[in-house]
Amino acid sequence: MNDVAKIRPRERDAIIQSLRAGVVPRVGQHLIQVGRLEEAKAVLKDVERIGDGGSAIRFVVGAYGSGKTFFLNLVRSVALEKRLVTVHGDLTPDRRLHATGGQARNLFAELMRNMATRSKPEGGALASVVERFVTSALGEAKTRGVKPELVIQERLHDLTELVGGYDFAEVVAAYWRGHETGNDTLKNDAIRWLRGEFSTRTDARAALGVRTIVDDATFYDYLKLTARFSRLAGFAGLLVCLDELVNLYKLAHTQARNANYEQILRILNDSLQGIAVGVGFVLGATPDAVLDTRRGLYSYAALQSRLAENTFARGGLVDLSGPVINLSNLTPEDLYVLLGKLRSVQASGDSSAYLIDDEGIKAFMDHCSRKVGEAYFRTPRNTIKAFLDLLAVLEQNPGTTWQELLGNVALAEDRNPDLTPLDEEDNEDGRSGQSATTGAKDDDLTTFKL
Amino acid sequence: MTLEGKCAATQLLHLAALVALADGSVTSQEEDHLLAHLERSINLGRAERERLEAHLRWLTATKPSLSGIKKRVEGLSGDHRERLGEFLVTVAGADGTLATSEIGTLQKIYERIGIDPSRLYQHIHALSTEMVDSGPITIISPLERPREFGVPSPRTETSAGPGGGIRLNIAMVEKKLQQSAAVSVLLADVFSGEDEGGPPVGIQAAVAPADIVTGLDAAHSVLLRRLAGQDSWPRAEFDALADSMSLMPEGAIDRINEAAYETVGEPLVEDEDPLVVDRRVLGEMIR
Repeated sequence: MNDVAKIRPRERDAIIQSLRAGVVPRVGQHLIQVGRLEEAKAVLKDVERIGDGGSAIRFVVGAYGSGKTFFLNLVRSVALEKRLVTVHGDLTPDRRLHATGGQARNLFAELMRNMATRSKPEGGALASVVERFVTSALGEAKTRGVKPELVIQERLHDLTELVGGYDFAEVVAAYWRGHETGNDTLKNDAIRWLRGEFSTRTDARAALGVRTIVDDATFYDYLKLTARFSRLAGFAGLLVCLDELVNLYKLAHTQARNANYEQILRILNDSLQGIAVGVGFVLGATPDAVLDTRRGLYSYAALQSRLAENTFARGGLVDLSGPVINLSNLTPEDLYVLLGKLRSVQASGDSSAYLIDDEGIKAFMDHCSRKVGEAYFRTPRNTIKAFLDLLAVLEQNPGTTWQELLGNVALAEDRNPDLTPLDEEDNEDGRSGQSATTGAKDDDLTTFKL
Repeated sequence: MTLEGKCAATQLLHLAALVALADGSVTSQEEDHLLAHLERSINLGRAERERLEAHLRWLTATKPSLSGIKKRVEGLSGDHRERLGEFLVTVAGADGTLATSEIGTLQKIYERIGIDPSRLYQHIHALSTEMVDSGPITIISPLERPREFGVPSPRTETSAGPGGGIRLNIAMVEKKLQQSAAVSVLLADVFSGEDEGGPPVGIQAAVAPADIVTGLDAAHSVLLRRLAGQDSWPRAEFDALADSMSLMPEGAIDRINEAAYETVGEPLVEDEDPLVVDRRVLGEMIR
């Protein structure tokens, strides 16, 4: 339990702050990862394959509370560390893989806003990526004694063969012109275009002189272009993380749902056949969103046959050669090890500074189990929060012991937002999964009204 | 075996045959799994096993239907129904795959025996992560009704200890610790690993080799050394500085911070206005 070596203050604070706020930390996941060695190995290989110009796709399937989002963020951190660019976003009724009413473009815009690099893990890195591309082109132009535009065009030549590639290259060149002439509007317009924020062709033409925009129909093509472009900018590739696949499953309209599944099939086929270059996808899903043969991914026969290959772990051997990673539910033992790791992170890895001993952790779990039943380990968000709150009190009040405080630890049961009816979910578009949970909890308090 | 036991076995066999047959055939694994389970849970003798085998073959030939399922499970409590469902999932998955048709049949059975279909997906998922208890599952005969001389119904096991307290499986904790240690090593490798790729090729202008900062090209090295001159830089001033060196500001910050992550593990400048230079990180970078 004391295997957490050097812990940087930055990572320590990020982990503790996020978990206390009830959200999955963006950095430092590796310090609190419990088990899942094979799964971690598999995604590490995926990331390396993407970095080598290959492709990968993974469906991370787990029940509510099993740590899908945590695992997705771990993959994302690994990718950043391996010099990939990452984009991430939750699928919602308003952000889909396929649509005709702008929802796919919404998803694209969300992904691009969340674009992250190793030095900008929090997102908003699109301009950095573009500038790194242009800077290296400038360097080459200087050494060769030619115009920067020429080098930019040369380097982006490969892109022009892809759908939308010609305009993509034009827009990058426009960014450079904006920089060169001190025209910030042009620079901003170029970034807005690359983010998919232009909604009409007329506007795009007026601002940048290009005839196309990122729209619903070209969503995936532009993702592939962005991946190629990241490689040209000196990064290893692009990882796309899409969480909450359950929201596609919840689409009531069969045609809309199937169109989205068809898009997934297209992505899956491209990945498995190695057509996509330097791009990988990780999708977080609940079991029902995959397995339901009426509305889940399994309702789409072509997807079912590709996903079902490694359905079952046999004789303790996990087969991760297929695209599905099944995350097991957490056990009390997992939680025990996790709390030990959190204690260590809180003490910056210094075992002499631990605020609670192993017995204390057990007593804490015992307390939680009595308060909320087995939910305390199945959906551990609140348990973790309560534990860190306890540690915070112990830290701020030297001399107090956990024995004195334990009785006062309050704990609420965590509720699965997926169980909220779809209509309500529709109203929560703009809100993250976390706020949805909170919303559900608030509702909970009011349901006791007579 | 009692008559009741035999009835229970045939009922169970009926449901299981339905599931196993859903993909067109009962595979030998499915058959073995089913009969082995029956053997374990209700003490089948050899002759009885043979009869059940024959019955199963008969079921296979006559293609059982879904009708009347509700009646078959009438006497079962919710918990037992759930266990029945869980067992049927293991039958369907005994051959290592689960066909859509098998899931479809399971969906119908779950609906008819009154379990929330979403539990089905959790059961299948649990099977694929091997969380399902592989030991015998107690399933009470639908015909077993309370009688004064009846055997008390088996208690369901829970993971909670007496008084609701928790019991931890120490061997499991050890295993988890070992696995977590291994995963820490694996990830520590990733998160502290040197950048194998080395710095991307850039302009190596007339800068003394000693002035080159690890992980950076000449232009960015010079920029970094200029940055070191002040603790904080108003954004416009920094943009002008980068511009004077034919570098683009956003790209340059990204590039420098990336090098900082590689050497120190933390960024050198916070990307805000004004930019603040982290002295400690800087010290380690230009040592």
